[in-house]
This record gives sequence, structure tokens and C-alpha cells, in this order.
Amino acid sequence: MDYSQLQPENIISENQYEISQDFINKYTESVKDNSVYNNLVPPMAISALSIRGVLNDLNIPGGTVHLNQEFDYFSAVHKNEIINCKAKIISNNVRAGWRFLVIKLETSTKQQPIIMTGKSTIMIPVEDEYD
Amino acid sequence: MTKKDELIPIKKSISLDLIKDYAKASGDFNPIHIDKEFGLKSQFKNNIAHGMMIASSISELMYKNFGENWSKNGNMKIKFKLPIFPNDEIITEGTIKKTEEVSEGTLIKCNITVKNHHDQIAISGETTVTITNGE
Repeated sequence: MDYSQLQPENIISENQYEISQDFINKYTESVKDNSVYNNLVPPMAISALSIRGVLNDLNIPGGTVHLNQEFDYFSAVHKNEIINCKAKIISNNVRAGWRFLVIKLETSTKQQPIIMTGKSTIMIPVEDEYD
Repeated sequence: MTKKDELIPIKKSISLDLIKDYAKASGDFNPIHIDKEFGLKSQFKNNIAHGMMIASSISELMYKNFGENWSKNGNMKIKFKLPIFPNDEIITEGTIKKTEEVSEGTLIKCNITVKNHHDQIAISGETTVTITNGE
């Protein structure tokens, strides 16, 4: 992946996930969240999936650091719903040996055009970019 | 600040096994989190928990304090300040800094921190949630 070629508005990831009870169980167990969500999906489980696509599709190297994160939730999601996750570049700058990528996240369902938006700022060590 | 402005906090222990479980659940297999050798050679000299794994405790805090409103209209803005290492204990706390009547209901703004067991801030940020009319 040549990260230097990423330009604002470039779509870097588009993925679809069905949120199964099995996924919800594994997620809540891994974060030790004992909240009672009934048929709803924990909001951060949706956020985790939205970021999964970015990490995989950008092939993010091991030394990458997550700096800042924002999320806005607009609608609850029920288990077994299918979510569509899209990510695009907001900005791409290099400073002091690190590449700073700001990424916009958008998640929707068939019924709801926007259920979550987010903004992730990550920094990638430039020396690791071509590993 | 009165007690009633403080949200019910959440405490957890973060183990390497839990971090590996989160990697499987989230699909984030970055070796900084799960590969011991990679962690030792990194700038942190250890594995670190996923930032999103630790941030999930903020969403849990908000859900436990404000229920489904959090899922429907919550907002969080956070900064990752320090890593959380395997075997760290974390405490996630929040205080209500402002409430405001809006057309949909009551807008609540909170300050949030996640601290390690050395009382150092690992994540800081703000959250907002609107308690909608009729709920």
C-alpha cells in the first residue's frame, strides 16, 4: 500500500457485516461488558466493525498508533441486522517521520441511511509503510 | 461538583488473554497488541490493549447511565493519551458538566476519563447524549 497516494475523499474501505448474536457475545465477552442490551447491538461493536474494514483494507502496519476518535450514533441497531461500513480519507500528512491519516467513517443499514459516523486519526511510522 | 453529577464508574482488569479475545472479535490483529516479541521491540516495550477496546468502557459507562438514548443519539470525542498494558486495571469515570433543554429533550454533556491503576489518564474526552422526551 502506497499511503502517500491517498487523497482526501478517496474511499478506502466498503464492507458489509451481519451482526450475529455470536459476534455480539464474543465482543461483549472480550470487553467484559455485562450490560443488558436485549436485542440491540452495543454501539461500540458497530464502531469496531467499521474500523475493522479500514485496518484490513489499508493493510495498516504493526507500529500504527490510534490517536483520536470520534463517534456519533444516530440510530440503534438490532441483532441480525446488516450494516454497511464505508470509510474515506479526510486528510493525509507527514510530520516528523509519521504519516497522519484522518479517516471518516459512515455506517448505514437498509432502513437507515446513517446509523453512525466517526472520525479516526491514526499515525503510521513512515519507515514501516512498505513492510 | 456534587455526587449526583458523577456517573457510576466502571472498573476492569485487562489481561493479555482478553486483548487476544478482543483481537478475534474485532478483527484487529495488529501485532503490537498480541505478539509478545513485537511488543517487546516496540516503543512501548510491551504489548498494548487496542484503543477501541479500552474506549468501549466509555460507551458501556454511557449505556449503563443513560440507557438506549446512548445508542440512538450518543456522541463521543476522545483522545488516546497513554497505552493500557496487559495486567493494568482501568477505571472509567464521567461527570456531567452541563445539561440543556433542547427541542428533543434534555441534552447532557459529560467529561470522561479512563485511568490506569497508577491514576494516569489513558483516555480523555467528552460525551453527549440527549434524553428524549417521553423516555
